[in-house]
Amino acid sequence: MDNEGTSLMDPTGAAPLRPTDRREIGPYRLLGRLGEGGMGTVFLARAPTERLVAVKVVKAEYANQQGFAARFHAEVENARRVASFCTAEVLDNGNSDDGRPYMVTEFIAGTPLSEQIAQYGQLDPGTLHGVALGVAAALAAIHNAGLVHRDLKPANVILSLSGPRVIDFGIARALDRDSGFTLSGELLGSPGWWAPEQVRGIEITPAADIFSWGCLVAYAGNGRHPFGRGDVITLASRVLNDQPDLGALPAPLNDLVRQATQMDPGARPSAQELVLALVGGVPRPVDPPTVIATDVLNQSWQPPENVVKDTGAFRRFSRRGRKKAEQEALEREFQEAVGAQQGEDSSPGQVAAFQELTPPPVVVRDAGNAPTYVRPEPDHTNPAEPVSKPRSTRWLIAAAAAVAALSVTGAVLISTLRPVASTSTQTDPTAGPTQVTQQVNDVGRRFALGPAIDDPLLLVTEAPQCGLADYQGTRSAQGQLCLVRWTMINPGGTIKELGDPVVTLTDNQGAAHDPAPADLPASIVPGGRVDGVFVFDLAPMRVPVKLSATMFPGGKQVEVIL
Amino acid sequence: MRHLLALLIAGASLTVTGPQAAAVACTTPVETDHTAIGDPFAGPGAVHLLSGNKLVALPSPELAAGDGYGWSAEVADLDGDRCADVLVGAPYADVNGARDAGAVYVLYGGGTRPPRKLIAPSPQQDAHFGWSVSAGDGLIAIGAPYEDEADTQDQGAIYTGTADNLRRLSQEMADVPGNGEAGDQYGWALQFTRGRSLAVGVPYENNDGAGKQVGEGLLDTGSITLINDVTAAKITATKWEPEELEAGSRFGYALAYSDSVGLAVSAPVEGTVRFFDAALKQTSTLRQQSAGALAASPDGRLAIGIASTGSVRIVGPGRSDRTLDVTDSDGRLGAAVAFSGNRLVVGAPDRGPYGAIAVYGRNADEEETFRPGKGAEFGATLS
Repeated sequence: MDNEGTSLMDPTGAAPLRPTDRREIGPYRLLGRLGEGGMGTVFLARAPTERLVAVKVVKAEYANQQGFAARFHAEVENARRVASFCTAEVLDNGNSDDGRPYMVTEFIAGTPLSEQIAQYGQLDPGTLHGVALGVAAALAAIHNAGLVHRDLKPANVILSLSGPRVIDFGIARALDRDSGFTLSGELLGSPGWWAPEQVRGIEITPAADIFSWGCLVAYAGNGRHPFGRGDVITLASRVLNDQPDLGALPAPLNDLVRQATQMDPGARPSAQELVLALVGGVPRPVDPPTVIATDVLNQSWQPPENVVKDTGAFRRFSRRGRKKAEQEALEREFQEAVGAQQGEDSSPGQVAAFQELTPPPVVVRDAGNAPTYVRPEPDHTNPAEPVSKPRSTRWLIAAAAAVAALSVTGAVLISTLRPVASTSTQTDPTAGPTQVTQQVNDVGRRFALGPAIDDPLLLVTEAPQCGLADYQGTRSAQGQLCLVRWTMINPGGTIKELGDPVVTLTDNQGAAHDPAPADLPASIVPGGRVDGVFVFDLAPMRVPVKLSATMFPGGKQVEVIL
Repeated sequence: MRHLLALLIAGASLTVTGPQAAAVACTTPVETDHTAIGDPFAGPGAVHLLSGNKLVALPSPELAAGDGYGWSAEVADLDGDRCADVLVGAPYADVNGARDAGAVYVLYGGGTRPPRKLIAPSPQQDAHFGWSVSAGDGLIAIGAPYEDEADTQDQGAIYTGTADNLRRLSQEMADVPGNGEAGDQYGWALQFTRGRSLAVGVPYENNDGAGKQVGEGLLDTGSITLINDVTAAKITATKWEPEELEAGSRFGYALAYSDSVGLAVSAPVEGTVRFFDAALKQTSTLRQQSAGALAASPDGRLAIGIASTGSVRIVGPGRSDRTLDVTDSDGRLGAAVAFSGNRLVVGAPDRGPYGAIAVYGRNADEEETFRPGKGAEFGATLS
């Protein structure tokens, strides 16, 4: 029993180590094999702190490439910035004795969503909602750190007792920039879950993960894959050409999944918008600034029964190697926390003390900046610290500490309705018309609409005014109207015919919008001035970023950064 | 001051007039260099005053949206109290129901007089009274280049005199040389020269021979007229049109004057600046300068603003010249230029979020930048 290893039917899902496998990598003691892929192998291991972790070791043929190790570690450093709520936190990285890079993440005990659906069919509405929310929150964290997952699929979503967790993001794919093909020619990733632009091999943005989210939620809710089954080529072709089969899902998932799987990446919602939609958008001012999603998820997460049962067995496994007293303390504490959450008597069989209970990240927001995810207590490296308080209390304390440390101003995630603008301009959509920001934009700048010294000029005289439900007879259907006020002057001596100006507004997600029909004069006389408003209908979290306009037939197109 | 008030309250009849009564020190003494800076699209418009090295936002009179207040500006002591006053054009102001008739405001320094609104005797829709302004020797001149006369559209007219007494002059009048033709836009540019002489720039005048023509000949070649004394009962004036101008040259687009420079007139499309003496005799020509803005200094320098390239050229006495930093084409440096005394002020209305001005001492290497607290195109107009 001292020689730890795993047996075939191991509750962690790990297969036994092969005779040729090493028993140690760095300071980690390998226990079993969790999986193998194009880039390397994932092992179950025990850390020096006795905590169970997953260690991913890169294949030798990669490790031998020049510069690979450096790039690998750089990507891991990026991944460490991702807040670990709903993901598997990256804990460590290094190089093994034989020079192969490895990275270490939390080991999440639970059932992969792929297995769950295969064995038990579609999820209950409650669990489905929790999965949709948890994965969206994980994506929000990943995107906020500047990463894209690139391979979001049911096998990468673990249903655990504490909630759905997204694992295995970004790193391997990020390293293979050019074509998604490995050295040996395999196609990296799983085209059945890829966005169309990913299949085409063009630029990947966070919107690609949103497409995958949509497919995943549809799969989990209907019990079948939106693009069916088939080989790589068949699936790739369907993604490019066919509409996905999204079935019928409970609200609001039905609509969200349809929006998420649109062909145009710019038209898909952002991860933040998904989370907002799924928590209902109601701010909770009374709470300290904790992640609303955490709150909602904790109160509503219903792991499938089999997950509960399996983790019980796992608990017994993980107990080995721990000091008994510490183990019992851990169990008791976990019992209280989980029991309080689930509102039922918890028996040891239903409780798993598989890892330290960690507080969720706190989202803090400086006025005017994008939200940042902050871990309140980085205590993973201090194993001796007793886990002494129930989980919910620890979160509150951690959150309060974060507040004190960071001087948060009204920092509840999402309820502040401030999206992360992808460009440098940020306009507060709720603050009214004359919001002049300190960032570089073209508000108040004169644009010559022709080359002559006295050709007409165009100005957007003030920052766009958003957040309106209606304006002069036009009602918003998508959530809000944004008004862009403009002035045109003809300072010369010749009348100019206006015709039909061609105007497009680009928002912070890259989507293009046409203005509502407007009455414009047919021409502008010498010395004349036209003051007008372009009205755009946008979704609630969107922010206008740029206005492109060709005001005269055959005239010069101007781009006004808003 | 208190003593004065006490006397008044006591009912003593004491008439206080003229400069000798102004024992009040004004914040804008004429001895200091002042430059007015217009920002006509900051809301209804806004004007700042740079006095010495202090930038002050001038309080605006009551304005309506889209007035274009600050489209033109001039600084001068108009009421003789040795305090600088500011003239501001708002050519898009609606007046008495006439849309875009235009108005000009006089803001008096000295703090004793309220601002004054000047309008055309018969405000006309789209006349844009206040498109240009000039001041000299206690007199003012206001251009309304889009004023129609009878059925001649955009013939243009100017209004000159004192704030109390403005007289209208147009090419249709017998004593004013030239014929009032459609699209002439008379009064596009105005510049007092010496004493009560006023130069009028008419860049959209067509070169079409004597008599009244419409749309004939070479279009928009331009012309200037020098009115000898705007207060004379009978007007005498000289009109001048370069013979070799090509269509579209727009001679007369911008004007500048100082005693040492003479009268400088730009034809930006032709790419020239011509110099004239007091008798409107041409003395020299500067070529390859597309001058959108001109300013002349007492010490004989001419500043040329070439907004399209974001540069300013300074031509000095004896034809020495230098070009200011050309790295600011984005900021539209040179959209406007002005001298106040020998201090050069250059507008860069797209620099930064609100616009900026750059001030150069006699040595053009020293530059000081001023920015407003808010604005849209601060520096688009300079006095």
